[in-house]
Amino acid sequence: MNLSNMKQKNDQISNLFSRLDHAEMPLKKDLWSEIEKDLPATHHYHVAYYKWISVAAASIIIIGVSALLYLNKPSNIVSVNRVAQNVSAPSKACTHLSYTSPSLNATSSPKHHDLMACESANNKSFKHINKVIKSTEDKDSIVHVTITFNQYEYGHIISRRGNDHNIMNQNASYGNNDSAAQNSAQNDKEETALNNNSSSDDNWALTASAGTNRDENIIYGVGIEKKIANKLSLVSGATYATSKNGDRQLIGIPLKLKYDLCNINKIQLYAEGGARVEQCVHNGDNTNVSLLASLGAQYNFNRDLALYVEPELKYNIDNRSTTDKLHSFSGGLSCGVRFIY
Amino acid sequence: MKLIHAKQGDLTDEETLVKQCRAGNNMARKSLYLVYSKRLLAVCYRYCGNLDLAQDLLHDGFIKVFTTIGKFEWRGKGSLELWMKSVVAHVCYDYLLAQKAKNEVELKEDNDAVDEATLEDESMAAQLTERQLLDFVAELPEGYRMVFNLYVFEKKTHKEIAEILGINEHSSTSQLHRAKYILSKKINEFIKHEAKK
Repeated sequence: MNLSNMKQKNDQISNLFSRLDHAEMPLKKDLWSEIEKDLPATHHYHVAYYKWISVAAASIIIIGVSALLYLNKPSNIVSVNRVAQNVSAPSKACTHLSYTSPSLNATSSPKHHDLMACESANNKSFKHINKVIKSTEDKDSIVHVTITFNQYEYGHIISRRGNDHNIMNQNASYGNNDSAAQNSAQNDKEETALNNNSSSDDNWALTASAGTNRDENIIYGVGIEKKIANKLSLVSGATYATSKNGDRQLIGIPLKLKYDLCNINKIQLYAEGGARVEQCVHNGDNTNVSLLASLGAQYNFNRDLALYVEPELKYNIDNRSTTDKLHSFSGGLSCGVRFIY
Repeated sequence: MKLIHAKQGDLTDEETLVKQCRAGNNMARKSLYLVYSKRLLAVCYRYCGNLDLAQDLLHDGFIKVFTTIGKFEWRGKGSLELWMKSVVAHVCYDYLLAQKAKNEVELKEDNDAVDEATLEDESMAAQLTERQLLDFVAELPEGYRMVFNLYVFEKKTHKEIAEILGINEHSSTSQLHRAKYILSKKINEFIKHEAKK
């Protein structure tokens, strides 16, 4: 047999077996779950890029909405109205009046009747806070402008802003130049002390945050904080997160303790520690329990509003995931806004 | 979901699958697994000749596919399947080569005369099922089986096979011909046996 015939016959085999190029064989059922368990963590550099953008965008939205809500909250509107009402009321002793927003720079004679009028306009949902904003000394008399702020009453929240006792003390000083000056200075001191000690009197805070970590694409959270000791707060709330792969959605409940470390001007540093239980609500039914530890830095715009960032370390102690293999440790970052009451 | 129903040959979805797999999307990974796993299991079985071992090699093969999918370049229809088969085949012969003691015996150079491989009834042979053909390949001695797989299915040259298996080119040629001879002999005997029934 010559070489070409032999080659042709050998090709019979190659041709016959080329059918196997698309051959299929039945699989055992649990092979995918075994593969899934052993899949290594994927590095998502380009995903991470978009993830950080989405976190930044979410943060901007949260801050923007918060600022809008804060600037338009009813107490401020009422306050301005009251100021306008007080300063425009007719008075025999009125010598000079000017108003520059947002601070008030005015001189006026005491107008006890205005204050009383304000009080009579109140109903149960409002409470008075009396503040001496500015006092200036004229040649003949010391005059005060008394501004009544109305604030919605939330339990004890109002107490740090002043009370009826303060109002009466201040009202009692009107008409007496010397005592009025002393009282004004005392009020200034009290006001300063009030500002300095505001954090110790703030019992409640609400938070809204957006963040990310190694296992989760983005985490949105709302929280509530209750001060339980001088520097210690209890923190809880709810979180919504999407998994790294984007196919799972998780609802979580954190429970943490927050400890205030220090205050430097408007910046406050604190540490948090606790745990979070997460339940998969889409594409799975696994529950994950994790321990959390974080350090936070907070910038206080004023006594009511602060922005914060929290680098966080998460340890998954009970990972029953069937669709994702979570890391034991994962780092993350969240930022948000804190409303203090 | 669109990805779950992705079919082989559907270019858009195949490309989407690759992108999603690169991003670590487990749904996409599973879709890819569902589309190609049975075919890739046959590849593993062709190489190792043992169904249980083939499942283990398929497991390792998919891990390799998902960890190296970033290196895959889309080159048109079928390129993904070819690449996956290549990766899985690589896993298979890497494993088999690692079994040194076994392979040293199997891959010894054979300079004996090459027997003729002839199918006595080609039409009957064409009626054999894929599973029967796979079993014939699986029954080949390991060295022959590797050379046969690399040459017939991976389209490797004898030079490339020699480099992969650490043998010389002549030995690769010889083992291929021996593999074909054994296969033709088994097929002929099988057809005769079936004809007697």
